[in-house]
Amino acid sequence: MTNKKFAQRIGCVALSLFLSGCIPKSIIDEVSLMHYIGFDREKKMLKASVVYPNYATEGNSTLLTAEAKNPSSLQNELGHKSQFEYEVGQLRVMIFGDKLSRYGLADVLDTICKDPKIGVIRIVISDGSPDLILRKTLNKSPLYLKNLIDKSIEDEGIPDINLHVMYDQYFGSGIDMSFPNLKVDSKGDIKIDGMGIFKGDKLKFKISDKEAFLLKLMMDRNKNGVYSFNLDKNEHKGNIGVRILYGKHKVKVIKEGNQEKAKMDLTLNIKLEGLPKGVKLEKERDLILFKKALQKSISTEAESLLKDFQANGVDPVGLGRIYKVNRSNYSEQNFYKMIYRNMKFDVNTKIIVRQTGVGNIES
Amino acid sequence: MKVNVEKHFQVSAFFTFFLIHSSQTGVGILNFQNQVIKGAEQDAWISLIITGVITHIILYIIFKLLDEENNDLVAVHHYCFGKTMGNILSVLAMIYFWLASLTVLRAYIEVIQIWVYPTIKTWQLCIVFGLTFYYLIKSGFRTLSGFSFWGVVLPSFLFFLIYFPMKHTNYIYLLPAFSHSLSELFISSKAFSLLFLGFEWIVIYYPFIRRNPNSKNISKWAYFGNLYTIIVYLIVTLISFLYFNQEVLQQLPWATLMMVKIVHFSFLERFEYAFIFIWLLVVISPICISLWACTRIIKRTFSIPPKASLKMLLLAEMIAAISLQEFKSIDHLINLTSKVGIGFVYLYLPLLLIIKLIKNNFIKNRLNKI
Amino acid sequence: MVKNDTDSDTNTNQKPIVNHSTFKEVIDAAKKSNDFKEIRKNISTSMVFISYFNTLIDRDIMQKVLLPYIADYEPRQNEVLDLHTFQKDLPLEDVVKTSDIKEIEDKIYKGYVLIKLENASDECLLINVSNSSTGMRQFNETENEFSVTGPKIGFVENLDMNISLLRKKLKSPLLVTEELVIGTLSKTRVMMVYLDGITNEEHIKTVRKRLSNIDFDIVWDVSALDQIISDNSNTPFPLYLTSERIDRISYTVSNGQVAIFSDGSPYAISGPCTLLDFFISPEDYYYNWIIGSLFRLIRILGIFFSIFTSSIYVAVVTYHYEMIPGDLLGPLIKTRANVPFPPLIEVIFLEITIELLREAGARLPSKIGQTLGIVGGIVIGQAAVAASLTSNILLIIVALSALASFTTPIITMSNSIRLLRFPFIIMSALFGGLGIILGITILLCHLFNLKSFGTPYMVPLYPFRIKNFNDSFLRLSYKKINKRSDFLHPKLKMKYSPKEREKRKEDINDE
Repeated sequence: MTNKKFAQRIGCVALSLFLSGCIPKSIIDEVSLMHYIGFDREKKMLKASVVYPNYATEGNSTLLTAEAKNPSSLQNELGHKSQFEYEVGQLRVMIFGDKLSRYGLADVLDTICKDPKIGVIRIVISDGSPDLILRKTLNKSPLYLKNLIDKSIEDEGIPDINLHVMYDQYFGSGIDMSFPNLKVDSKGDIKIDGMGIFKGDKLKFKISDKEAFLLKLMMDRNKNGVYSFNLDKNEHKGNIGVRILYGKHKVKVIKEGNQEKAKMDLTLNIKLEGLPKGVKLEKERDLILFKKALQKSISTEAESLLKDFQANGVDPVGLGRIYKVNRSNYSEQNFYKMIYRNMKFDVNTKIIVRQTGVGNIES
Repeated sequence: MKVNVEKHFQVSAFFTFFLIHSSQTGVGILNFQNQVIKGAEQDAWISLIITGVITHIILYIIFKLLDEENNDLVAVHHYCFGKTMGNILSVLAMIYFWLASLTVLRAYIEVIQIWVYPTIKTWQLCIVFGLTFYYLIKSGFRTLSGFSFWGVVLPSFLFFLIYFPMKHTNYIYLLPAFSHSLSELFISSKAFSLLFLGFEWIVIYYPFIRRNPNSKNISKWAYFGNLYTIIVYLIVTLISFLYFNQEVLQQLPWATLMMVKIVHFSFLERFEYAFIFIWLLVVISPICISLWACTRIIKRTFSIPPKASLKMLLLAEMIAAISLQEFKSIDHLINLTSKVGIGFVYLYLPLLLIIKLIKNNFIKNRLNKI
Repeated sequence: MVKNDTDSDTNTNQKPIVNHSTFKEVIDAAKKSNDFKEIRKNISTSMVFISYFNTLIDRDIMQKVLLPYIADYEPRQNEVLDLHTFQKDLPLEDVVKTSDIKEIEDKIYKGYVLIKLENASDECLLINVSNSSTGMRQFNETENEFSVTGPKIGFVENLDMNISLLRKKLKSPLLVTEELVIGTLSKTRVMMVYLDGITNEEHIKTVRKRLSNIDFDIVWDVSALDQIISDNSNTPFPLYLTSERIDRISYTVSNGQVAIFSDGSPYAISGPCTLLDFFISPEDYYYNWIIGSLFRLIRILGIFFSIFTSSIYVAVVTYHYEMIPGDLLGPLIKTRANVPFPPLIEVIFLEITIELLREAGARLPSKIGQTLGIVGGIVIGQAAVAASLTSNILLIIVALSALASFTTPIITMSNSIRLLRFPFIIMSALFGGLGIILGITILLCHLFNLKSFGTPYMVPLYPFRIKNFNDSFLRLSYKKINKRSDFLHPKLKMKYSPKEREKRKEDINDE
């Protein structure tokens, strides 16, 4: 190959590269990266509130809101209001307001499922409008809300919910969606407050923190959290918090007579942090007494939570799915109409006390 | 009609493993899940094994088809059907090879357009890929087998990513197991067979593999290659079945990439972008080896120099790729290719073997008579 | 393959520049130079011409040996002087009697003294009194390929000295040197060195053929030969190892490579070699194998770091903001916020600054060079960040990748690596991550195609040879690396066979 020919070829290649290399850019400091987005329903319109961090100036984050009839034009509406092109690739948390949750999330969920730019985000719901919550995050560090939710899920007894779990529960049969619930407390702080349980794409009812933890015990691998209960046996009285370190759950649906029965075995390893006066775990009798009380408390509360779900016709634990495993003629409608309604629940808890701290417990 | 390939163009038998495996893995592995669950649902992994075994048998047939005298498809065609008819059949095979290459290329462009650059035009990517692939194929078979080797070894570290979805798997998604009828399993098997296509190019590059005194060596490595493909697909299938339930798989067209989304490093988020780019190394083999096989067939039948035919073939491929605009038309293309491919590999090649054996007998009888 | 093109027609028609056919012409041509001396002496009956270039000869030998010897003959008036007896008693080793005009001309320009008798035949005597060390550097410490431990002797510009240095390391009768003269103007002595009976004949033949085919005017340095004999001239990669270290070259020769020396060059080239050979430093062998392997791995990691970091920065910042972890987002955006340029310009600007610093540092005397590094590195870097011409994260990235490129022991390879950064940066600016992977593909393809003296350049990566990994990516213990590499097809596989030390299987506290 002569040099001239070589140069010509290189020139051709370079030219065609530059011709074809005109891809729209999204340079990090020239796009509006949002970390949080809240959806709510207002006057029959879909309303979105978006929080952009201002990394460049290190100032407070900005809140933008827009309204539209469908999620796609909502993106457009938001774009009209922001300086730069608006990008969802760094989205961390999606919040659904109370009204929208009760109205139905299908529109929004179907849209975000189709957007490959969205990563595995956290999805939560809120008491009232998401605006209130997002407004509280503006003067905090940009990832404040995300860290708050992550940490609650990691070790504060909130079930692990993210986009993947949402897919699983939303599309999957035999299980219903549940999302952590956010609220602003009386002092003006953002706080995780229980969970919202959905039926289909609609919010059915909300459960408390403690119930959320029981739900986590029944469905998550990670069972980290604190469970508090009232010890009221003989002379021992008082409210105790035990930290559950790890454990296992095992759910079975068995037929008992002509009724189906959900049998749930929980094995929990706990750590004791403080005990009321008088309880001495060195004594075999006290230990057994304490364990029994705790086991009973968890079992009955879990059972009543399950009954609560049953009464509301929702199934966040996924009993339908477990029922399906060894029955090939399963139909979701049939299960919830006929079987789930009459199902009996039996929760067995086994407690293993792993640690009691390093202090002297007797004192 | 024996082809003699000079020794410095040949690669050692060990590379058959990588050639077979790398030509089988293409874009299909990124989105096969919602196709294969259509019949056997959670039992589709059984169908995978069925398809794998059938592919093994086809490989056996291919090695029966190729012998010392007729060591590539063109030669076998000439032997069985004579010059003219043989050439026509070879050209038909070439068209299928070209179609296979086009399918993988267009599907990869589609992945890039959907996942990474939504606004990039097809022609932009076509120019870039066209230039790159021209350079690669022009470098010859040895270089391509180098890519098939590194296209397997380098991306194999992606296997470690299994760790991330493993944490979110649920075994009950695979239950109830063995609950599907044979016919349902076969529907899935058919869907899986598209994933296994590509190994048949060995009928063209067979003479380029250095033969040791014991010629069993090549077939041994080829079987291992196919086995490795089965294992890889089995792992991906099982992991994605354990990670997503069946209903989700029906809804999500790109299950493997959705699964990669969960991968998260402290220094890197959204690993699927890196994954898609690294995947280029994987799709090079199916795109380039098939095109190379096309130029080879043209050279063997019409004695047109490969460089000229390569330019024409690549240009045709780019034009075809650009003209497929609607997302549906890509589905149609994939369907067409899988039908043609299944016809070629699972029906035509066994048939060809039968014809060859009959011809063998015929000649033997005639010799005996004389 | 190189095709004959139209340009070569003009070359073949060219006549040799020097075309003297008679003795007189030669002498007349030489007389045009003022440093050509001609002494006439009347010895016995005949006139003796002694002619030489006084700039090329060793005056000591001339005055103390040759001239007294000739003066010895002067009193012997009765004898008939003939060259044969004159030559026989001459106390100098390199004396040639010839009538070949070409040889005479060649040799007087190399510092031979010509002795011719008037009226005698064409035959004349050429006596080597050349001074090979005039103007040559005696100081032979390695200057560029530095090492902390191990010998620090390097080659010098004197070919004979270099060969003697090499022979001091390899005192084996197998070491063979073949001399060729290359260069129509420079007539440079070029030597190829190999181990007879170990180096594969094919390689020796290829090198010999390539060298003897060279048509060139002045061999400035052995690196010029490197480029001329290279298998593919359109590549940024060096295809042959260039080294100034004796230990390095003796190691490659002992492995079965062919080394080429050229007079006037303190470097030797050695081939056929592979890509990974360039990341071997002799120092690896002076450390324990674990440390040596670690350093080698770090060096290889350094290449990847050097080539890819700035292009990854461009790709991520321009296209893939999704991939940045949340905690890194803040610092990245904050530093880039005031930079008015797109990332591509920003990176190119900084990369060129670093290249300028390096180039200026290489041109300046070493003492000023150090100051320049500090001034350039700190002052310009700081000022550029303060003036928001670049972000300081990028400054760190570019400086580190420049640093990483300097870890490559062979300077030619480190240059190619620095060059490779630019296509990758441009590709990543055009296509983001896809551009980087396309670049990798094309680069791999190019590397697969490269050959060094006909052997594949990417061995042991492709063709894949796992056995060669123990002295390419890693440097295993001397016990393990006692075989020569396969790809060189040496005639003798084993370098040495280590004796198994007596080893007892020991259990805990087993006495």
